[in-house]
Amino acid sequence: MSFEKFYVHNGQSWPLEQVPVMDEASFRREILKSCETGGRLVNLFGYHAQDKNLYLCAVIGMDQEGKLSVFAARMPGGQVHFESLTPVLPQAHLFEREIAEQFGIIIQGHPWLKPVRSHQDYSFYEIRSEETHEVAVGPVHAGIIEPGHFRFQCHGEEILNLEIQLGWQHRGVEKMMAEISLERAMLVAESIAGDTVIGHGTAFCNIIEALSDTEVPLQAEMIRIIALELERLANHVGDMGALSTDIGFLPVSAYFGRLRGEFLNLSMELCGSRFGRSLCRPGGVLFSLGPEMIEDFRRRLLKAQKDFMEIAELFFSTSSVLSRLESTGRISRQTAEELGLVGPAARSCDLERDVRTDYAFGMFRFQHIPVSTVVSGDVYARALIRRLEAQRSIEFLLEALDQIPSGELLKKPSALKPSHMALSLVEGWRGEIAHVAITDAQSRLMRYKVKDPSFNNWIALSLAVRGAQISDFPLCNKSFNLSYAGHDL
Amino acid sequence: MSSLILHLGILLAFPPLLLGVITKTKAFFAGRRGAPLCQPYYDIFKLMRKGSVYSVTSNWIFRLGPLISTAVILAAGIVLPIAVFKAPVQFGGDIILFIYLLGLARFFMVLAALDTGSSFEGMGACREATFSCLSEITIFLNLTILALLSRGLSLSGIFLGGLASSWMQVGPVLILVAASFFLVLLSENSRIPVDDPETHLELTMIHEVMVLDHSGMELGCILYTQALKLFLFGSMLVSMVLGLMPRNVWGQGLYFILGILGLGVVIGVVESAMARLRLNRVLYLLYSALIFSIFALIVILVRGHV
Amino acid sequence: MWQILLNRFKQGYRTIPYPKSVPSFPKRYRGRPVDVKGEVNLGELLFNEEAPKGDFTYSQDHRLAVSKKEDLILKDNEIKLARALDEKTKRLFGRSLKLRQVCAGGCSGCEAELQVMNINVFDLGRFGIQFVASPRHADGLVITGPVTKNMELALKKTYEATPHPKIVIAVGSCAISGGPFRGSSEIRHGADQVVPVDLYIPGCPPHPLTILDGLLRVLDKLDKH
Repeated sequence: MSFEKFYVHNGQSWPLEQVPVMDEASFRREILKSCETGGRLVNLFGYHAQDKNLYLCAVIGMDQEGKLSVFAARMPGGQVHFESLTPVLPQAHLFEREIAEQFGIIIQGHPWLKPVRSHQDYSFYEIRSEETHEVAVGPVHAGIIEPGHFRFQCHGEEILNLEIQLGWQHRGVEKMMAEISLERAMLVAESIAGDTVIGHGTAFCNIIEALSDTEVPLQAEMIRIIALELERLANHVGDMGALSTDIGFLPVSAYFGRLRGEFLNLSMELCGSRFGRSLCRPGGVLFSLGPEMIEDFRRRLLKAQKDFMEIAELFFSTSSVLSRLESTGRISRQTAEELGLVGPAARSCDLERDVRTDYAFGMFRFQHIPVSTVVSGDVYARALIRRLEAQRSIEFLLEALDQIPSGELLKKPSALKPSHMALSLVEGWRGEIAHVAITDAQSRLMRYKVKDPSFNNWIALSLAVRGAQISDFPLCNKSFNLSYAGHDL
Repeated sequence: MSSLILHLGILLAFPPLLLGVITKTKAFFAGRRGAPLCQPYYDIFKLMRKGSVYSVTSNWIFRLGPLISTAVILAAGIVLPIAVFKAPVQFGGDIILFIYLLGLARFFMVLAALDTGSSFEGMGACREATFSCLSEITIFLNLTILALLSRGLSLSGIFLGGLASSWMQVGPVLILVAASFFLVLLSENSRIPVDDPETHLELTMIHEVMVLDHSGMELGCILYTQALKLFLFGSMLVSMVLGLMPRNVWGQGLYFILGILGLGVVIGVVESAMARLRLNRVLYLLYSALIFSIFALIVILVRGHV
Repeated sequence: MWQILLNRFKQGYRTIPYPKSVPSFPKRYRGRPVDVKGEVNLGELLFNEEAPKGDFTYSQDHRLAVSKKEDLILKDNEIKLARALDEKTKRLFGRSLKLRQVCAGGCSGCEAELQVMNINVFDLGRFGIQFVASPRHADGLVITGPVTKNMELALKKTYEATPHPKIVIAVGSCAISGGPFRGSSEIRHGADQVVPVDLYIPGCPPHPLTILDGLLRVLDKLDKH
């Protein structure tokens, strides 16, 4: 039974009734068929509609064509069973675990049905043998970092399996979004992941703008993507510094750290916060860039660009560094595709996936940043891709500073439309951020689904270290640098 | 008696300064001021006054291990001459005693680490034991070569003028021995490229992970022992390179102090210029040290210097 | 190696001479509230642009750290900044303070600012303060995040693993009152609901100089440098 596909755009809203609804068997078939023909699962979640029924909703993205299709399935009442997609479509694995945890649905045939954010009844996989040992790290681990639990099954120094248990930072974001005022929701969205303030903040703003049909002034759109690229730049440079620290190359880590501080200070000049808080608001932005500020930014960016090129050159040409980075933690392109990885982790495995190009939003419809990819898929590739993207971001920023349109800064949004659904995708510095929201008949946010790029990518770390030395784990972890808070919500 | 007191005094007071010099050099390369030179002293004094926390899974080995280790390394220090001062305890064959005292200290530290029952410390103990297989042989061979050259089996004989003529006659061999010694120094004292003393990543540590569970006074002893061990190795290297003579106490003593502090700067520079090696590559580093030693020994034997 | 030396001279020495001289903050920086009509709770304030609503204005003052939770409530332009520790503890930790950071559900904003303090611009090491890997090696805990239910036990155990005497520092609005997540059923609403706290540093996230100011105040080192 085929149905009329319902396509939407990034940053658009539509009446809930327009979403095609089908039974679960057709729903499952449709997801599998779409993913076989070049599609990718962008989001898969459950929600209770106002008629108290449980629905499952899927958002499929066709990256090559830039199309997003949405469809749903109504679940029967009582104890719900759903046949798992994961054995055939591995990228659905964490979405299904989340649905099982949030709605009590029994996912039949799922190879790894464990809780995502709850710690009750969590049992770890074990290998019982005289020659293997088990190492448990976390949640309080390493230096100044978010909590996560890593359980290794090792044979001597070689890792046989790594199981990652997260959920330590579960603050109840999705539940809060449906209960609090929009002003507070903006502040919560900014705090989903403290280093991705602009990423999640912009996604939230886009949702509210889509749901209220607000047209954002061009100047605000431009400032938003300038802030987004600045955030990408600061985090990539910081990551390279952190990689240097982890391999013990201390002077370079100090230089990268200082350079990152420069970019954070630019953000503080713009909006008073080193991480971009209070900049993006629904309808636009709160701060503008005057001509003096633009001149100052340009001067500082040029100096930072020169410094960055030199330090990056030093980092990548030191042989002891290269010997640590190359061939460590490799992920093949096929694995990356099967798992549905996003962001630099995917692009370092030769997958061209970038929301800025595939599903262009805001000013990215007019401004183009070329997509960087690297082939080898190891720690070296993930370090190199950060260097390439940082260079591209600085070049973009230097050009964009001259092209900021004039006009308003903020257009106050009107009321939200009732019984509508909206979708917003943003290419945060870790990858694809997806927010989906549904309003009820009283125009309140009934369901708010957040997907951070770390949700897709954490499994990649488990696979990257299989067979590697346990002392290489921190390096692999840092090369992905995924968000614990973004995953846990 | 007074020489013993003087010797012990130097051993107790001087070593933490060496750690301070290394830290300052690394801070210089990173473009910051870094901790004060006397920071290790402040740390040790503070730790001596703090309380301790013990796991319920550990027993007396865990509590005594660091204390025994410190006592044993101090004993090793009494056997070693420092600068131009003769060792308070010396006899033919004290080289063997020295090496075994170092081994004994390591044994107790490894036992204390295993006693906690933590998998980290077990891994660290395992790594420590593996690398020490190579480094102990290398130290033994190096000291044998020096003993052959100075025609005696006492450390005091070797390092107080015993090598005077050797630099002239077999200089290149001594350079090989010095290089081998330097590599072993980096390995035994957990410096980059073998181990990062400032890292916070438990899975990558070798020595530091063995002491993750110690606190208070035991930790203070461990910190001091690290400094002392580095000082002993450094002292041997500097004495060997400078070929100190006991004649001119003040002049030679000054050379020694400058040499030790210079060694601290060199270690700091090496640490700043390189990244850490992957753990399995550390073995290759130790193999090179061993091969230098073996080669030097063969040259000495063949040349008929015995 | 020569490349490194060359780069070192190009990059230069970057540590700022704080606290001898305070660098100037940008105009849009949101520091301590002044001209307060009514009262402002620094522990609940998220320092966002809309917060004042006419009840106060932000100044450029970065000094926000206090010792008691009551001192977080600003009624007029006075703020009771953090006091130094008692004489005995001050003498113990004055030159050597090792801290263990515990992220109890933080969003990583406060953690990022804490990481930054080790680098050459702020250089925490020159005050003898250092972050360590094991709570057994630490003299104090630095807690960020609203203390989620999942992290409560881990925080308690880390506190018990730290030897006496110890201090506890709560950094950020989340660690003081729950921050943006106030009202959520998944959090404990602040570090002092689980362990006793000696120093509160408000902000979302607090600027590294705010944190540094708090640490130096508690060790009574502001005058000496």
